Amino acid sequence: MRRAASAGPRVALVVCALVVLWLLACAVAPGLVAPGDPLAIHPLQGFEPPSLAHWFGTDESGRDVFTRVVHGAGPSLLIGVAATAIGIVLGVALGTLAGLGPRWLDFGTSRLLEVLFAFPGLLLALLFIVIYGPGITTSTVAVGLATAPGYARIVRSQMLAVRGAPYIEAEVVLGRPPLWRFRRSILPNVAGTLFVLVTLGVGQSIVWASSLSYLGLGAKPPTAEWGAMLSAGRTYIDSAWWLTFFPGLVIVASAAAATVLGRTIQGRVRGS
Amino acid sequence: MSETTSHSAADRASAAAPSPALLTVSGLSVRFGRTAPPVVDDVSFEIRPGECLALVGESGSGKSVTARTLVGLTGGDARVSAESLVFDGAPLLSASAAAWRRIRGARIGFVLQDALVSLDPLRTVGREIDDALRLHTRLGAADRHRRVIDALTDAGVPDPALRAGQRAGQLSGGLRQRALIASAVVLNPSLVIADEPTTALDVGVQQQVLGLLEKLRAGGTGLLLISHDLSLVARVADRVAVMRDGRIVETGATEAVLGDPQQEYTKTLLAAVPWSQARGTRLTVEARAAAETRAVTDRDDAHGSAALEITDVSKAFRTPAGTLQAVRDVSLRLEPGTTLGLVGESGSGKSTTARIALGLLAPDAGQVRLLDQEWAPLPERERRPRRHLLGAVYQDALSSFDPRWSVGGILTDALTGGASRSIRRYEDEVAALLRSVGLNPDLMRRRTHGLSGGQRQRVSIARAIAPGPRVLICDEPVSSLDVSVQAQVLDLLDELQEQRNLSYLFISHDLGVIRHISDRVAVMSEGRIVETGATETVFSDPRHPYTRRLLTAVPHRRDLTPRQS
Amino acid sequence: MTLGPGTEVEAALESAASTRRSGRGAVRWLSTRLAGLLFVLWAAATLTFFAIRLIPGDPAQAILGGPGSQASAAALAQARAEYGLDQPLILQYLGQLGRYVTGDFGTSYSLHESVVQAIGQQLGGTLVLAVASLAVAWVLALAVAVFSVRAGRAAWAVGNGLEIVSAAVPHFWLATVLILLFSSTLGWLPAINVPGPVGLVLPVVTLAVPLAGFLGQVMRESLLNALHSPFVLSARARGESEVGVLVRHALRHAALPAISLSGWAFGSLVSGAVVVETIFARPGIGRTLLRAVQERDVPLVSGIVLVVALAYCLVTVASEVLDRVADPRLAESPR
Repeated sequence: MRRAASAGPRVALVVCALVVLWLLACAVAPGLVAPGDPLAIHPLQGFEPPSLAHWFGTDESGRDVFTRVVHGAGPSLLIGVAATAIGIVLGVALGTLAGLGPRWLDFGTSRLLEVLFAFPGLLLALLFIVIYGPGITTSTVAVGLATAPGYARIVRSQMLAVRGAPYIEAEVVLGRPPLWRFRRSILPNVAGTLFVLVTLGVGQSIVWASSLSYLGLGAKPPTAEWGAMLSAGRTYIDSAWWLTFFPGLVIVASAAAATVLGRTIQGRVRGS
Repeated sequence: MSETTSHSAADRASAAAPSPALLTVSGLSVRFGRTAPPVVDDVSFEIRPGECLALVGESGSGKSVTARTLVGLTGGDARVSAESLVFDGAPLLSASAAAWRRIRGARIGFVLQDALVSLDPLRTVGREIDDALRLHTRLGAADRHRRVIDALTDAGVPDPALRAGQRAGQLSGGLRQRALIASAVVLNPSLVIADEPTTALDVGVQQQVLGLLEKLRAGGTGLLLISHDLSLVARVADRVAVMRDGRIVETGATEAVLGDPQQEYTKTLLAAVPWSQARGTRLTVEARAAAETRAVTDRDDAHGSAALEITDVSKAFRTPAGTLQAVRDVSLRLEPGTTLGLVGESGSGKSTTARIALGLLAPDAGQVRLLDQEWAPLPERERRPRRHLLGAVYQDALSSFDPRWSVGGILTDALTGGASRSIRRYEDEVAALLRSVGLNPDLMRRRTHGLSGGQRQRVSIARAIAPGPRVLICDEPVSSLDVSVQAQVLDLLDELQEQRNLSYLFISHDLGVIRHISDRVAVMSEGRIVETGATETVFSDPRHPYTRRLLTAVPHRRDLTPRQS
Repeated sequence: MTLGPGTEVEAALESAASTRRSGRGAVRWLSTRLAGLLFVLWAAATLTFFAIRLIPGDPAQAILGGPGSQASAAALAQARAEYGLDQPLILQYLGQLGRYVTGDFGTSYSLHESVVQAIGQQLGGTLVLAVASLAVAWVLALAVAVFSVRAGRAAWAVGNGLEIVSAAVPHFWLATVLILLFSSTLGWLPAINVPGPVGLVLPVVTLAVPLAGFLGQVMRESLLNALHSPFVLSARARGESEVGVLVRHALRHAALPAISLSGWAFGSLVSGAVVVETIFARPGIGRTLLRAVQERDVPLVSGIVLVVALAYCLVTVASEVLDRVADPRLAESPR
């Protein structure tokens, strides 16, 4: 049944790899991809629709949207990566405590996670933003915090599954001490899942962070950050659709690429 | 395939049965995909009313695919061809989907193994049986309900009205298998196809299900029995067809094929069945040629120190339903260099005993001594330095390997006590180890999931013997293997025992295997040891009623002698 | 707001499984679950209380909108009195809990009305939006799952498309594209809030499509599993038609994980409502929450957060009850 799908994934993978490479190029050397100045104002060229000169059009101050999208890749990806890192580190810490610790610790951590789950996604992030005020740093941390309970759950169940796996028991029978089992067997086997989580998580965090920026709670205009660009373009949605369409398209492309790559890795991890 | 038929038997069968064939299959081939080799290759047989044909073979021989093809459920991308496929006078090959649906369930009944997954776990068994009636008759709900109850009664299900309202998960293994059969035969089909109908069942329950099938056959139903189990076939089938790699290699009357096999493959299969072979003989033909029959030494010298001694061990588990006393006051003594077989049905506490002996589970009471030293209960820290003396072989070898490691990595790890996993430094040692379990050293760079079941179990044995243990605990080590592979693994264990003077605690539900490998036997039931003794004594003169019941349910060599019919 | 499948969904399924394992009598099960619910609410209230005390500076100032607000001295004094800010922390905490129990969530300074009143006015719109979106998402997901059962290239493409839509398309972008297409270009549907069902179409589609992606994926997987399971083979061997196999056997199995996900789905809908209500200028709890966050209206934010937590818990318990109806195995004691 799965044989039929041999050509499809490869094409999708190549496209995704290209998207990721392009994004990385934009992040590392935006000047090479789009030589212009993302903040340069040309008041007379405001609201120009997409053309050969301005691929993605211009905004209300005549800034080139394509240049801004390219230069926005760095901060946007950085926010995504940082938020994922915060979420994963917290999630792994909690998940490991619950998955490998004594039963009472698992009980306590699991109840805590249950409580955190009652603040669905954005709610936890918004609560955090109320406390520390809007801004790039707060929204990044907020996204990290909001995703942590989900990661913790998965890490916990993975740890439990691996810890109870027959091959770990076989290692006990062979006389391997607990620390050895954790280092040589449990951790490496959970690491595959973690890698998948990170890949999927970066795409997810970019979407989350840009949503917060869009709502005006993250990066503020005129920063060349995708969410902030969307937020600024929101006002002109009827007259200048390209202001929101193109930055959004790049967000969709990067999140999709991360998802497809993550899924492919997951397939490898599970398949082997 | 007629050239491989045992002629005399076939002639007799056809002369004695003048009734026309119920099902005629000739030249049936099935392949999946355009280029793949056929899974079923030029298979021909026929079944008469009231006759039971058994299709036997090991996994992958194509017997299940054949069965599914006969109900038109081979699968989406299957390509089926046949010279003729005639059921009850009508060709099946050209049947439309609607015609197939009229045949399935009404005129051909199909029974799968393991009713727990073969009945919809969300619906009551009554509704599952009712489905067949609703699809094929115009009876009203009340009439159908009456038929459902009748069908369950006929299948020997007590309290049919109560059981009809329960789901498969609420019934015991035997009851749900009978309910599954009831759902397949409620419309009195003229042909019943049963694919491994007793495989997941304990011997006692097997017996009941076989009785039910026998009753159907006696009532004039044609029966196609698919099985890997020769002893089962010997008791039920009129005729046998042996399948290998999609082809029928030998066919004929049961007593002829099993009593006097003509083909090498059939002989191998029969020789590999451990029931008939005394302790000390090799099961595989090659091994038997190489090794002289080993003299079974008299091992009643209980004065020395035991290799493993379990004394008055008890273990209870708390479950939501209450306390489950898994093991009660179990005492076992394993003499050095011998095999102690621990036998019992599922849930009898064998595996809990094994886990306690392995020091994986602390007993509530009692103690375990290994080589005359304290072993359990003891803190794991104090046990660890002597862990290399005790090895284990598991039923599911694959899941006992870390999925990321290669064969060589696993064995290097075992040889070096966890210090290294680099194959390069220990290549010679690993190669020697692989050879000692009869594997090609080239396998060391392979991953375990690419190995066959037999190879995996050999690797698992190699890992167990690598640290130089004195005692091995083998928990159902051959239960998931095909009979010929099972024979090889049992032979290997025998060989290693001789070479290395190992002591085995060998756990199995299979009395044939236990009888073959054990010097002494302990029979376990409901957490207790009900009988122990020298293997031949227990088997020839069982004292405890439970042992007797267990033994009568088990096939013997005498089943292969011609039936009185 | 969408999340990567396989992270949040897996986590939600995992969480559902952990609370569903208990196999006891219905009454005992329900009372345990309700006790658990009370615990979660208490913990949520506690968490909110202490989280807000983390706001740097004068808590009275924080309650009235943070350091930036120009709250009058009288207002500050009133807030101090109302929240007992001169008392020890533990008394403040107990007082707050007591007020929550009596249904007093304080006064929103930005709306100049009681929090309970404000939430009461806004809750209806969001509920209609959420319920409609959930229903549409279920229908879409079911359609997708049944369609993709046809194995082969089409199923693969559908599966991958779902992954990407559900994981990568943010609500705000989907809403933007929908407005551009159906409102600005085609002029079929209104972009901003219009009373009645017409105004509901675009917001519901925006919320339902990504959710349907998640649900569809989960349903598709369990539907495929069910169709390849031995009991379906048995049913076919009994003469059951393909439609009968779907209706009587497979769809029920396919629905189980999707039911388990209802609590999570509700949460994601509320999250999404913040964005969608803002874009489409619909009155509702999401938009109110956003405004409260922007104005740092602490009483209103904590009130809404707690109400959402309560609703989440209720939906979760309801989905568990539904789960036990659909899957009677959950209600029976393990053998």
